[in-house]
Amino acid sequence: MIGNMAGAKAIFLISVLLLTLVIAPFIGGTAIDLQEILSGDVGRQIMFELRMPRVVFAFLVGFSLALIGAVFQALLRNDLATPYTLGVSSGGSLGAVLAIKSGFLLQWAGFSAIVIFSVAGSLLTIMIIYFIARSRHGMSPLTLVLTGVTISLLFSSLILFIHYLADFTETYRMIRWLMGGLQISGWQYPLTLMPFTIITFLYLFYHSHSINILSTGHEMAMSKGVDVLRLQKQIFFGGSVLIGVVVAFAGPIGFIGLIIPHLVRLLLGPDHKVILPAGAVAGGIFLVWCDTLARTVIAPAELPVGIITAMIGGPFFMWLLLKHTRKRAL
Amino acid sequence: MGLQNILHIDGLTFAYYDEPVLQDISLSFGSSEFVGIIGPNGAGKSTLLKHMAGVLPCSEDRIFLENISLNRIARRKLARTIAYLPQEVEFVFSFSVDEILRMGRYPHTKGIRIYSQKDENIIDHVSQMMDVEEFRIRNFSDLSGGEKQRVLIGSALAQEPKLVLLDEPTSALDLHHQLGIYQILRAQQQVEGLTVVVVTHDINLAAQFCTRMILMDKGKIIGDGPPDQVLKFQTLQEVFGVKVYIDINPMTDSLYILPYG
Repeated sequence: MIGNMAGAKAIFLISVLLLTLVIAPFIGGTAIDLQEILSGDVGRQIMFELRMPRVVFAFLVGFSLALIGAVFQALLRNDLATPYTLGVSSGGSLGAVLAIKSGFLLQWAGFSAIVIFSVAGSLLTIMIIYFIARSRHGMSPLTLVLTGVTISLLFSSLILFIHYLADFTETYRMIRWLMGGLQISGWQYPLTLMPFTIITFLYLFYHSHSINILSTGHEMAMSKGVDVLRLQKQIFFGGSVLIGVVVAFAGPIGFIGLIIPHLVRLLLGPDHKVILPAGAVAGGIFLVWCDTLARTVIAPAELPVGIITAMIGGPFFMWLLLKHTRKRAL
Repeated sequence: MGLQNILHIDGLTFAYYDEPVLQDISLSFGSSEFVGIIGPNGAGKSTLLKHMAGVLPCSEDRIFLENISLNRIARRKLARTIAYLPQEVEFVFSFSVDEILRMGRYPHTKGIRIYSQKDENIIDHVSQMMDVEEFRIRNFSDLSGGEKQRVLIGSALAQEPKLVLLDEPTSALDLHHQLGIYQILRAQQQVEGLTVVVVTHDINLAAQFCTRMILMDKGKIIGDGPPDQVLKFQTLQEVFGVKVYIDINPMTDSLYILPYG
């Protein structure tokens, strides 16, 4: 009975995914039908070089953000803890803005300065959070979230400071980048992001049972045989690298890691063997549709997708906060 | 005293900050013991239990499981011998009873955790023993205090430990459930040879069920032995700072203690 329900839900999610990947590329400023793709050069180019890579890219970004959001929430036992709220995204942003400002064309193993700085920024943030919040006997979730918020604010003011020093062109590039966007052409971004996403996902999925137990608390997890410290370090490191890469490519797109895991938990229960794949896929689908909206709502111009996710996510975040306060008051 | 030495503590001193919480503690635990650790608040009982469970880092090799320092034993392996239940367990996500029982099989499985027939049998056995069979598919958070405690102890026993450490397992329970928990633990101790160590404030229940009691105060061991040797009028008045009346319960032949003032 329970198995059938889970199967039905999985089939439903996969169907939505396939439909999304097929339908979304057809929606956009220029109408394209199958005929044009098969016959015309322009139609084919728009389809295969612009829309399809973009849809795949949006899916991977949403997938990664929701995945890491779900895992951070479990690790810190707090559904307000996500890469965005912990300041990891801010760290990445600060790195990227620094890279834009300094403008140097550093390249390492095919990655641009923005990617390298952004990953470094994310890692630096998680390290700061980890060491500040780490008391003598483990980490307290509350301290961690407060530290994240503080770091976020600090980095935001540093970003503003760099803005202030920047010239007009740099400022425009920074603002545009900070709004979060998925405008790409060609397959370079999705193909670079894909291995990071897949490897992180497989690692986390393999450890999904340990993550379940970790979500019940440190001492409990240790007593059940989970190597808490090692797992925590690995997950924070791997998650931050993935977030760094995502932030470098797509800007700090907020709230997906907050909304999607929360909703998926409400619908599918607490088992991370289910939550991680389902949440990640749902996050991907969600961002594809947000991006489709961003591409079409004021066509031919485009809205930065970060504005749309923030407009949906902001109220959701407030609702969560209120729910928490009410629970505590009771 | 037990026949075979399982856990051995050799001169353990510990401080969270400057003030030492444990001072030069040395203890040995054998198989098939039922040990009650008692003492006033802040005596260091819970801290000692955490050290025995290996959940507090101890930089020196002071605690030995079958003669191997806890620091040198992998977590999974440790969890196959020692089960520990903290004083407060708070689940932020709503796991079902069944999922929590299965967590007890974690140290016996690998990777993405496929449960063998043996695992399933043990989970079934534990759930019957703890009388949680009828609400296995329910959410843990919807259960009453007594039901929750039975599930958590069941999950600990599913680890098939030789030593189970419980921090105030009955403090939130009514009389009926308090007794029920102690009876199950005693059955495990007598039939399976399990060693049970409970930290508790309920001296009377401990006196009735424990084969050995350890009285702690200010991070030190004040008394260690059978209940009638540890529960001395003079010592108790000094340690707890209250006047006590001690007598024998004719129904169980165990000591009972009443504070008065």
